[in-house]
Amino acid sequence: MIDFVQALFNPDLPFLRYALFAGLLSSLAFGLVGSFVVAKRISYIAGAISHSVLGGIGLGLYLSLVVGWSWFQPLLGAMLAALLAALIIGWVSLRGSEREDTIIGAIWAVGMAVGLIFIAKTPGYIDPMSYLFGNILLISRADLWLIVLLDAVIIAVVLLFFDKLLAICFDEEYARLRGINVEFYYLMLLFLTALTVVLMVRIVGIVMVIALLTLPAGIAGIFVQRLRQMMILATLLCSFFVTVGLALSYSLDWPTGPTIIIFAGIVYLAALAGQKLIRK
Amino acid sequence: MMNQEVEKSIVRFEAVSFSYHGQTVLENVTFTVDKQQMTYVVGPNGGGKTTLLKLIMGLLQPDSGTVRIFGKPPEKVRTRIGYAPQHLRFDPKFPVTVLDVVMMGRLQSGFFNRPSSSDKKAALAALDELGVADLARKAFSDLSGGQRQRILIARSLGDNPDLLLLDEPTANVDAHTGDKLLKTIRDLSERMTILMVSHDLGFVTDNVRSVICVNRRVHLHPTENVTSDSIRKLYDQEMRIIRHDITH
Repeated sequence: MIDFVQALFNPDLPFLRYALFAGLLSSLAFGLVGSFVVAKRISYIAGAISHSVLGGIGLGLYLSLVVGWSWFQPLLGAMLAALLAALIIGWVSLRGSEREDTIIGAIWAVGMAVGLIFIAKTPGYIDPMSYLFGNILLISRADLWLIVLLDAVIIAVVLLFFDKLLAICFDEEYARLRGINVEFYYLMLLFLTALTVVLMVRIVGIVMVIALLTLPAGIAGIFVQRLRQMMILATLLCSFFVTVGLALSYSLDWPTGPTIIIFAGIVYLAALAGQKLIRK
Repeated sequence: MMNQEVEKSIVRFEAVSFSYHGQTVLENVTFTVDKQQMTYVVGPNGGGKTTLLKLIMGLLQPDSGTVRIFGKPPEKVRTRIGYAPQHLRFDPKFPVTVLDVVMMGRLQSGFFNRPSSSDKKAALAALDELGVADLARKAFSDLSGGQRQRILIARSLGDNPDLLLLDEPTANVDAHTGDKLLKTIRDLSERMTILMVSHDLGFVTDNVRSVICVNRRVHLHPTENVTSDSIRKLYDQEMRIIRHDITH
């Protein structure tokens, strides 16, 4: 652990500091949006959105490298794919005319398939694994500013609309009776989830985004009674997981993303077990 | 003249039909409920009682016919309606306190509207009226069924509604709590028009002015005309349940 702290202050290793900053900054987004995702039980929707992101990344790679649209970067593609997936799922779930879980599964799989085909058709060696499992050590200064910007958007939306979002999550029908535009705020929530997922894909990758979105908020839910408390505790827990996971991965020379997730997973299981023991 | 008449009938259904997935739930329903009137809505399970309430709130749209609340389409006036659904349909793990839930009854739709201290005061007053002010800081999920039901009624009072809809407020509640609840509801009926879905016909007494019997079709009876005969007709073979209910 001491070697990790020393490495943090080593001027020759800026990537480690950037990784830590990125983790801490995105904890805010994970904690806020993750609490909504857990409370409203839409983890599966977040899963589908995150996997559809690979389709957007693939499209971005293909368009920027093969077609020559250098402005169409993978991040733009990821953003578009996530928003499109959120829009489709939101539309289906609000209209309630199709099987929602089937649509979610379809977007999940088709998004990945599209991404893999675009990546295969883009020349040069692109490792899909880096998108699936992320690499927090590749974060640049520009990435940090992007995360700050997304944090700002999420904080602004949550501060402005907290009560409406809480109401549509708890009791959609009553929110509607109070004159709230339920469709608008539900889509807002899904868009926030989509933005957060895009941001998180850079840190822990597509496959493990769900864990960081749900585990801190899930653990927080065991200990708190209100959504806003859940948000604060989930943010703190997420910062803790990222920091400890980063240090562990540095000391053990393990890949960073999986180390963070496994650590968070162990804490979640321990919290659940502890809760069961106390109830008995 | 015309306006007065419109305002007098709080709820007006004209030839309303509603079906769900091709199944007729309500058929050619016509009735009115007048101001300051306490009305019971009775009928067998699946007979369309909750659907009737949702049509009143404009949460469902009729296939045909018109619904008018305070003389206007429900969507235009729904914020003047308070509604207490059955507590069983809520996610038991949702992270909210009692006060959070009751505050939702004061929610304003304006883009930049945020809850104020007067909203909080009103929410606490509503809890007080239901005799559960001491529960304000508790987690909603930690409450008993009877307590939750009272919290939901407190929420429905949040914005001082002119029309109050209660969906089986005494179901899944022990007899003592049920009696207390009904007393509270009776007090409320002095201030607002109340429609209350209930199985419990034993309470169709003094302050109830009329009974709406819902079983696909709707029959409106002034209380004095509700006899075991008219109820027998409504329920058909479900007689035994009713017998049990009216032997008070």
